[in-house]
Amino acid sequence: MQTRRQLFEQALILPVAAGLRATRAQVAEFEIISEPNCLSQESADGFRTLIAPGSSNVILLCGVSAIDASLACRLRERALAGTWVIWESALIACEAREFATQARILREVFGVNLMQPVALSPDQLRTTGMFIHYRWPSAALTRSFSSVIPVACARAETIAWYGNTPVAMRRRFGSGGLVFLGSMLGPNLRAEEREAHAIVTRMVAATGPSSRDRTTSATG
Amino acid sequence: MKKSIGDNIFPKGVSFENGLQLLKRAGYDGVELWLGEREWFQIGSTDSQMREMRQKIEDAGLRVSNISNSLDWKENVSARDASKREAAFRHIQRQIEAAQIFNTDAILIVAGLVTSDAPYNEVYKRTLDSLKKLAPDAAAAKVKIGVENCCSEQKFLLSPREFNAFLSDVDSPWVGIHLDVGNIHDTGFAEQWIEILGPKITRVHLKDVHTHRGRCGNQSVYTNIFLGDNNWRAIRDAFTKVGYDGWLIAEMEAKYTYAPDQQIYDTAAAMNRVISGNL
Repeated sequence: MQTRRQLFEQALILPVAAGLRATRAQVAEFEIISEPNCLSQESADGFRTLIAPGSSNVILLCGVSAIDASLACRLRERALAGTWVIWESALIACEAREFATQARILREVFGVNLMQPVALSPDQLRTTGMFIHYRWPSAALTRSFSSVIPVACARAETIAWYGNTPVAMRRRFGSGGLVFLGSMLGPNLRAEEREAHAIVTRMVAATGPSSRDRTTSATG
Repeated sequence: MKKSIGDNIFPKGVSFENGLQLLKRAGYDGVELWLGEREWFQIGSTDSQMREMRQKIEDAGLRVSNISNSLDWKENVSARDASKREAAFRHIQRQIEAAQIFNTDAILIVAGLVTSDAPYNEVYKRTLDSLKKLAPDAAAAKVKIGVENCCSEQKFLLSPREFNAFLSDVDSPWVGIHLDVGNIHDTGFAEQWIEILGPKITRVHLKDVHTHRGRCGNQSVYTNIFLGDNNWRAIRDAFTKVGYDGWLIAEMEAKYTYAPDQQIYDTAAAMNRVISGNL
C-alpha cells in the first residue's frame, strides 16, 4: 500500500511526465523533473524533503544535464504563464559535447549564457573558500559541490557568487521566470544543510503566486 | 565578534590586575576565567572575592567572556567514583554561580572521559544523565553549559554528528557545545563541526593544530593561530554561514621562551585577522 507521501509525490510528478500538459490552475504544488542517474536522483531526494502543501507553481529540475529543446520550450511557456522554473544544473559532471548542447538550449530558449564549468581544486577551496554566497532570496552561505558553472548575466540578475564569479541567476519571463543554479543545492538538502534548506524554502515561497508582487519588485 | 583569552596565559609572576592590563593593551575585549587554574580563582574563592575580581576586570575595561574549569580532568561527571562525580557537580554548580557574579552567560566543562577501564557506553549514559540533571540549574541561572570537544584527550564524542546527537539526547537549550577548533586533529575538519553544530555553539576556542603528526610523549600538536593546518578561511566563512557572532577565545599553550607577553599580542593580532576575514 502506498503511503500518503508517495501518493502525494506521484501526483506532483505526473503532470510533467504527461508532457507538461497541466494548466496553471491545475498545478497547485511544485513539480520535480529528474533524470535516471544517481546525482540527479540524490538531488531530487534532497528537494523532496521540502515538499509541503502550500508550495505552488514551481517546477524543480534536479541535477539535470540532458534537457531537450522541446521540453525547454514547454518550460518557457509555463514560465510565461506564471510558473517559476528552478533549474539546477549538473553539467559539472558531463562531457564537453553534452555541456555544449545544454548551454545552447539554455541560450536559445531562455537567453542564459553559461561559461565553462570550473572544477574547484583543493587550492582554490582554500583560497577562495568552500562556500557559495547567496544574496537572494536572503543572504546565506551554502556548501559548494566540487565544481561551479559561471553564468554571464547582469548583476541585478545574479543571486549567488563563488568568490567574484556569478554562479546562479534569476530572470523573469512573463508572469513567471527562471532560476538557474550553477552550483547544486539538492545534495546539500539531502545532507540536511540548514542554510540550503532556508534558501530553497524562501526561493519557493518568493516565487509562489502569493508573493509574486514582492518578487517583481525585487527583480527591479 | 569579540576577542578573549584565558587568564591561564598570564605570564608567571604577573598579578591578576597586571594581567588584565596586559590584555587590554593587546586589544582584547574580555577574559576567560579558569576555575581551579590560578591562585586568584579557586573553588574556595568566596562570592565577595569574585565580586572584587569583577570590579578589577571592569576597571581594566574588560568583560568576562565565560567561566571555564581545569578540574574536570580529575573530577568528572562520568566518573565511576561517586565522590568524584559529586565533586564535579559541585564545581560545575560553582561555575554557574560564578557566571552570574561575573555577568556572563556561559561556562565551559569537559564532560565524559573514556579510558581503557571506563568504557564508552558507560561514560555516555552517565554523562547524559549528569547533564540532564545540571540543565535545570543552568536554565534557572540563565547560564549555558558549553561542553567542550576535547576529542583526542577524552576519546569521547569524536564526530560532529555524534556530538550533535548527544546534545539532542540532552535536549536542553541550556546545554550546547563550547567548540574548540584546534581539538579536532586528524579526525575531521573544524569548519564542518561549525556547520553541523552551529546553533548549539555557546562559545569558541581558537588555536591551531598540526595534523598528521599525532601526539608523541609530551610533544604538543597545538600551536599559535595560522601556524598549523586549520583552514582558517573555511572556519571564518563557516562562522558567517551559521550566524555565529559571539566570543572567540584564544586557548594557547604558553610557547614563548622569551617575552611571553608577546604571545598575547601576537594572538590578538591573529584574531583580528580571523574576525575581519582578511585571510
